[in-house]
Amino acid sequence: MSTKPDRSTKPEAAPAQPAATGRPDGDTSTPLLKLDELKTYFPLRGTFLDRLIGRESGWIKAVDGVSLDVKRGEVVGIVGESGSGKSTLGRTLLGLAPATSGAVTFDSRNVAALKEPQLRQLRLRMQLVFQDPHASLNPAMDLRTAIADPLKIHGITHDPDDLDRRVREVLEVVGLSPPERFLDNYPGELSGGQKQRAVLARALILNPDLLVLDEPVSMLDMSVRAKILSLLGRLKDELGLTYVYITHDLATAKFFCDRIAIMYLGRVVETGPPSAIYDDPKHPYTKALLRAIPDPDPSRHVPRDLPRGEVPDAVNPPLGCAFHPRCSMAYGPCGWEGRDLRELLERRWTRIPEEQYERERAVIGELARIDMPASRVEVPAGKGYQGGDVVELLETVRADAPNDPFWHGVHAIQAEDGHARVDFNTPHDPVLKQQGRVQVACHLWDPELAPRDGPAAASGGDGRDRAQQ
Amino acid sequence: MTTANRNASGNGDGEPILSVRDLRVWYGTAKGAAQAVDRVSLDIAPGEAVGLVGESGCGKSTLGRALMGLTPQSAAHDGKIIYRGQDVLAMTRRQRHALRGPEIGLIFQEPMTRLNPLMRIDDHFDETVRAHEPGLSRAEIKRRSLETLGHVGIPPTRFHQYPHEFSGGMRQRIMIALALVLKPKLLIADEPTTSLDVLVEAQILRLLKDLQTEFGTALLMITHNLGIVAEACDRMAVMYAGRVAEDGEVGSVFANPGHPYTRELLRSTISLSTKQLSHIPGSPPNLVTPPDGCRFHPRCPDAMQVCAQKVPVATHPRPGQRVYCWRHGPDDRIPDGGEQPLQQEFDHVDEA
Ligand SMILES: Nc1ncnc2c1ncn2[C@@H]1O[C@H](COP(=O)(O)OP(=O)(O)OP(=O)(O)O)[C@@H](O)[C@H]1O
Ligand SMILES: Nc1ncnc2c1ncn2[C@@H]1O[C@H](COP(=O)(O)OP(=O)(O)OP(=O)(O)O)[C@@H](O)[C@H]1O
Ligand code: SF4
Ligand SMILES: [Mg+2]
Ligand SMILES: [Mg+2]
Repeated sequence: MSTKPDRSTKPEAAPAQPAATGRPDGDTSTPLLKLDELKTYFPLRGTFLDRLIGRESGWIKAVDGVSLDVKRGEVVGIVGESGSGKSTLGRTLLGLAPATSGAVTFDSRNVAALKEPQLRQLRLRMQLVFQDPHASLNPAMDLRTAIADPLKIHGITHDPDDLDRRVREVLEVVGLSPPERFLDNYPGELSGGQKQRAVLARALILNPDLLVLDEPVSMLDMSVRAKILSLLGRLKDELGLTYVYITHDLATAKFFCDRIAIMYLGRVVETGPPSAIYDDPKHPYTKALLRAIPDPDPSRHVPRDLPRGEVPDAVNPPLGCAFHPRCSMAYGPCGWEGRDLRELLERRWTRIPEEQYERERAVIGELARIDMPASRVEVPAGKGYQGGDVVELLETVRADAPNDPFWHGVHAIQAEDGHARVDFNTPHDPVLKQQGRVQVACHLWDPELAPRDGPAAASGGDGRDRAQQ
Repeated sequence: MTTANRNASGNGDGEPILSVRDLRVWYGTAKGAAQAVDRVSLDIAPGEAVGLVGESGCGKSTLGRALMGLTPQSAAHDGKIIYRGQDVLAMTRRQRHALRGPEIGLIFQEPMTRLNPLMRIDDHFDETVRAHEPGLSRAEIKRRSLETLGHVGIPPTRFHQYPHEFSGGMRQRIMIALALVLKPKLLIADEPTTSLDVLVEAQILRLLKDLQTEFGTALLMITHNLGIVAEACDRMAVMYAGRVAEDGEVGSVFANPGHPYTRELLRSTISLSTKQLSHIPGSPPNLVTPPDGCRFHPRCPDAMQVCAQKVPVATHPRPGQRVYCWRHGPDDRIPDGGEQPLQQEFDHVDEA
């Protein structure tokens, strides 16, 4: 499959049903862990007042349909910004957060279908290591007690000699040696790196097959980071472990992982081997992330085209592609809507003099009326203004920045009674499709939706240069 | 004046806006005095961006706060901090207060703790501007506030909202706008992007850069991240255990790190081009009983006998680069046999 010529020149030549659900590498060995369309939604608890006035309460779609295979001995990286759902994904696959739908298969067994005793057995084989080593150790417990604790909780052994032997062994394994020197230490007496080793020891004492490492080095100093990552790499080989490595740091992920999944607002937007993702990123979000990393080499600076704004709220994600409001490549089908119009106006208003802002602001009525996930909005006229005035203002805004990707999404603007009606193009939800050695969820790479000049052409230049549809 | 004229870092162009001379700050602790800043001398030129780096606990924040006269009650200090000809440490409390804001601005790491949750954004600006320029009209304050907020990408439509209605990145940008609305000549930013995502971090770094070029604001950027220094700073100072180990132009320090600590710090940084992990053995010392001589000597791969005995003096291996390391001499200050390598007995227990 990967030998297929670049389809960018002839998008139609691509198979009608690309490997959205197929396995990219054709490997026949069963994965140790398999996630199928996993979803984790948290109920949004509105206040009593919200419910009284019937305000939408809705769901936080923390994980919104993630499929992933993790082979034995592999390190799979889950990479994304804050709030993209990485930790929730990790907690869900361990059964620590309830899945809303979808399936987790561990060692060929469907985790959801298991009953208590087997489930407990299985859980022992998957352990979690948290982000914050300071918070994950009880400050009132010495290491001897803290590290033996899981053995007692799970009823594996209560024999003091056995416990002592196992604790010493695992301390050696994580490099806290000689163990005597650490057995009676309290977490407060350890450095950040030593604490993270202790946390690791507590997870390893149960002899797991899989470790979910949730930002294991993010809170540590650079030079300590390198030590802990080396240790993790060594332990993986020595103990035959498999890792799910959760991080927001693309640099450590590149170095550490065999495969990477880039997440944005609960979904995987691009996945593949690091060599493919870092050398030739396909999703505009992946590209943006890679461009944003400060390069510790002052001689190599490139000008950047940074996406604007921040990760939107997971409660009401943008229509279509969730990245579209920040994407410089976004075009017609990407999901333009009312909230984008509000943002466009506000962006303009940060750049013009106060008097002009006051003038323009007066033409439009309540902004809340366009601030919604809808492909058709009625932009209300301000007091003393008509729908025609609003249209005129919008046309001025367009004339001032005709190349803003927003305008690719506008189908029609019409004056109506007391408002201007804006119709946007139909939003399309991108799905993961095979593209060379990666899978990517972006319309630019979808033969049916890609702009006529093809994805390669589009990704080569600046999106804003493309002719309007 | 004479002190201010002597440029500690050898960067000779123009009068520095800030000169630090032999600054020391101690914290009283149960085990004794912790020398968090120990004889630091440093200059910042007008409009210049200086990065301050070093491992956790090296005294970066203590130094940054001391520059504004913000040392805690429990701390003692001595030395000189000359801001545009005046000694900050010799000022009265009122004088020092007047300095904060219009002259020297400070951006803290945690935005939420610095914004009052009960005050709208417009009130924050009103209060800040009024405190320093009581004569300004309401309309003028609003105009200036909106203009500054516009620079950081916060639209005028959000001017009357409360802090909790903004995301973490937006709050950090509001904090920056609050520091900038008074047009300070020097901005001290203590890890301004540590809690933010890479994309927002990159936006904020660009913003700080733009402000520097547009208004000529000088910047002291405290950070763990060498990438940020490479990206956003003109000069850098590397701190180790309360002392400056090296400072100089960013390009030359990265290309030719003079101090073994700088070199090892650069080597241990994990970047997209990292092929092999490297780390500095051991960890920074406690500051109550720091090692004699060069404080880095127990971890230094290049250490010599003299390093364990005598505190290194400033050397200038390259123009504009200042290094405190005996490897650069001066030879006449090294006692006989001092060049012999130091036997390092590594306690690998401290390896974490
Ligand atoms: N227990 C919970 N109840 C309600 N919402 C939650 C819960 N846990 C997470 N969320 C929400 O789900 C989304 C994803 O959060 P998650 O912690 O998984 O993100 P993350 O990628 O790990 O972020 P970070 O990098 O900040 O750790 C966020 O919007 C978060 O607020
Ligand atoms: N208020 C205080 N009282 C006592 N000791 C303190 C106090 N503040 C800091 N210290 C100590 O002074 C030393 C320097 O701390 P400082 O916060 O300046 O370091 P830093 O370089 O900013 O570290 P980080 O990178 O972790 O922010 C540390 O050893 C710290 O424990
Ligand atoms: S003075 Fe000596 S110990 Fe200190 S950094 Fe230089 S060589 Fe190393
Ligand atoms: Mg998380
Ligand atoms: Mg600090």
